[in-house]
Amino acid sequence: MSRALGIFSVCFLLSSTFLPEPLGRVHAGELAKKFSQVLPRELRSVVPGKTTRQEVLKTLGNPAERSEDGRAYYYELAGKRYDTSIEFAGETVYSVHFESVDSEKKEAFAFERVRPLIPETDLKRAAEQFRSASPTHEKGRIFEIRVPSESLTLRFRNNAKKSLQSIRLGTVP
Amino acid sequence: MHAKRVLLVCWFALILLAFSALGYATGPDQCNKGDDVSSRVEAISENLQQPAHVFARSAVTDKELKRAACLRTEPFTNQEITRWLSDQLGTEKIAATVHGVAFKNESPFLIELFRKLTTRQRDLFGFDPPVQKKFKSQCEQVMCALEEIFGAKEAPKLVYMLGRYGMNGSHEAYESAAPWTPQELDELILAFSDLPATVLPVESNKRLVHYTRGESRVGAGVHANALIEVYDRWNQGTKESRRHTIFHEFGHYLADAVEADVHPDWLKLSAWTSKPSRPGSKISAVDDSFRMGMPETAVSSYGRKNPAEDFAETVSAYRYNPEWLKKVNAKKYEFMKEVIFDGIEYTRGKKTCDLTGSYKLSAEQDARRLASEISSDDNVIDEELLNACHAPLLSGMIKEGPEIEKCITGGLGSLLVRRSADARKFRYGALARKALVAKVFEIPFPPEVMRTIKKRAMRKMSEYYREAMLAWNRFNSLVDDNRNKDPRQYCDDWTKSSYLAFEQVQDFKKVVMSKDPDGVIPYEHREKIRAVMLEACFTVQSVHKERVVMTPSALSAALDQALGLE
Repeated sequence: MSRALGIFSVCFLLSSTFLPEPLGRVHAGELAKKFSQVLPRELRSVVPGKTTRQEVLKTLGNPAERSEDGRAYYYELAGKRYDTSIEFAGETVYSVHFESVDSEKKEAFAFERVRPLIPETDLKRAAEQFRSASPTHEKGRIFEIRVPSESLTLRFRNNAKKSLQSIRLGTVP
Repeated sequence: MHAKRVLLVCWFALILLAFSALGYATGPDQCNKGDDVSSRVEAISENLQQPAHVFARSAVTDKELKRAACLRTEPFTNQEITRWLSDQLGTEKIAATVHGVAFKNESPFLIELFRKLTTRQRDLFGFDPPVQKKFKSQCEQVMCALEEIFGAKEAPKLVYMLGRYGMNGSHEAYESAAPWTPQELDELILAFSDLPATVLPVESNKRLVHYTRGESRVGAGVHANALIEVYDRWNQGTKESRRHTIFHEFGHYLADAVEADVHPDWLKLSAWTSKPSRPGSKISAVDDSFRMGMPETAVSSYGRKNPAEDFAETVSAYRYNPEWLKKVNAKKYEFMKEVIFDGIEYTRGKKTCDLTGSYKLSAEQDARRLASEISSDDNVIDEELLNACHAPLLSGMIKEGPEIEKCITGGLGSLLVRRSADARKFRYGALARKALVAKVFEIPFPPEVMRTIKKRAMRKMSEYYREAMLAWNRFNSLVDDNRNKDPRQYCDDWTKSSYLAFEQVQDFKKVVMSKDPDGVIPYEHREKIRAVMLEACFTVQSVHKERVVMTPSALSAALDQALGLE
């Protein structure tokens, strides 16, 4: 009986700990963390505001190219030249920008799927900015959503799937 | 002689200046206002034995478009549209009320089109429109109501555009949209007909509107954009330039569908590179930070702007000026043939205007043949089916609906089309395969083949659940201790525990997660798993008319019953 009770307690504990929460209940900082899964594995350990230049070089090796002022390193991590760029503020990483080319992830992180995760106010602001932007020939091909609280910028392609095009993770203020 | 050369150089400089003055943000082929300039460029280039497009902004001149192969010039007649429509209707008739209009004895296909044409669509960011208009009509048939709303001449054309090509031109469906005139609709449909018949639709409800007329402040200098929104400036061009503009926008649209204009295979053809001025500033194929390493491969000066414009201009060149494209870059020609034009060519001397070379038609034929030849030990089919149809199969275990068959026609259809595509040696294999699979929505398999495949998929699904049940054994003692609970509470507890057991069965988890390796959407799947197990538990309880301990064998029997595998 006591063994059964023990198992029951373990089950109860596990269920309350591991059962997934519905989409939409994302806590501060979790959104950027969630989206960082889009990044190539080796890039996930590069955290804006924390990782140093030396650590970047140790993790990713020498960049394919550096900006003239040394503030940015460019890498090819997903098969496309300059698909990854890392910006530094001094000796610390300031932002990571990655242009996603992995089609499976593009679909897994398509706008319709991740929309519930994005704060409503940020969505509304993005919609308003989009509406008021002048209609150039390029308007509508890509749309952008910024989540300032997480220093996250997402760009989606306006196709049937609204697939994720690129992601920028910055230093959280 | 020297003086003549200087004079010639001066002429070029003047002409180039004239083009710059026409404005760079005007969209494709927008030399219409400057047709005299175009013809002068053509005249000079003829003298120099150089193609006009080396200097021209657009890949196609009005003259070339008129000369293009297989170009229909007469608008589609109402008779043709009615004939097409009657082929789609089928025999089913239903009654339904949509936005205030009550239809009786009407085709579901037409009612769906009415719904799309009259429903205010969500915006790009997924926000609902502020209001949905209610329509007042005594009509009991869709065409009658649409004629009242859009006009007698416009309604059939709008229906044809949406039903046949998937393009929604309704001003009732979108903000800031003006009604199209019948002549404009004719021109749009003619432009769609320039694509091979197998290419459209790409989507079933894509916006194609004319922006509010007379608002010169908005969209000044722009003919059309990627939304797809056409501006007043479009109307000021010649008939040919309007057709080309629409086709150019379609070039973008078709690129979007498979993300072809950012694909490394495309970028390589002109050695496109882009280095952001600062991280995050460069995002996509539309950014001006792109640099064309091989400018001689562009079909027009506008195509040198970025990979997306290069792409759309090349699509136009393939269709209206193929000899020129072949001359400029044979690889781009091949790329367009494989990825966008479904193998159909428009060069002189080819058998054009028919679909004999269509990859899609031959892949569909192959797929039907492959389906009837699937061997019983084809594990790839099983895995793919489970991957493609996991969600509907799970739902089907709770309550069987049409989703499973729909998924099989789509999922298995895609797999077999991919196999057919693999057998064909494409030069741009990855994208060509993707494009081909995207074109095939579903393969209608014969009923006996469908039955066999469905049973096979369900059996495979059951195998995974059985594996999960073995894990369940570990929790048996818990169940024993819950003997005295009422059946509903018993099943609730049991399901919660079985869910945890599932989580521990690696193979099963792999299948669940395969579509979502990063765990963005497991919630939906997990909820379904729980629902299936709950249902199975209730089934066991109801069969035995009393509370029964959920042993693996009892659950196995319940699952067999649910799956129809007894």
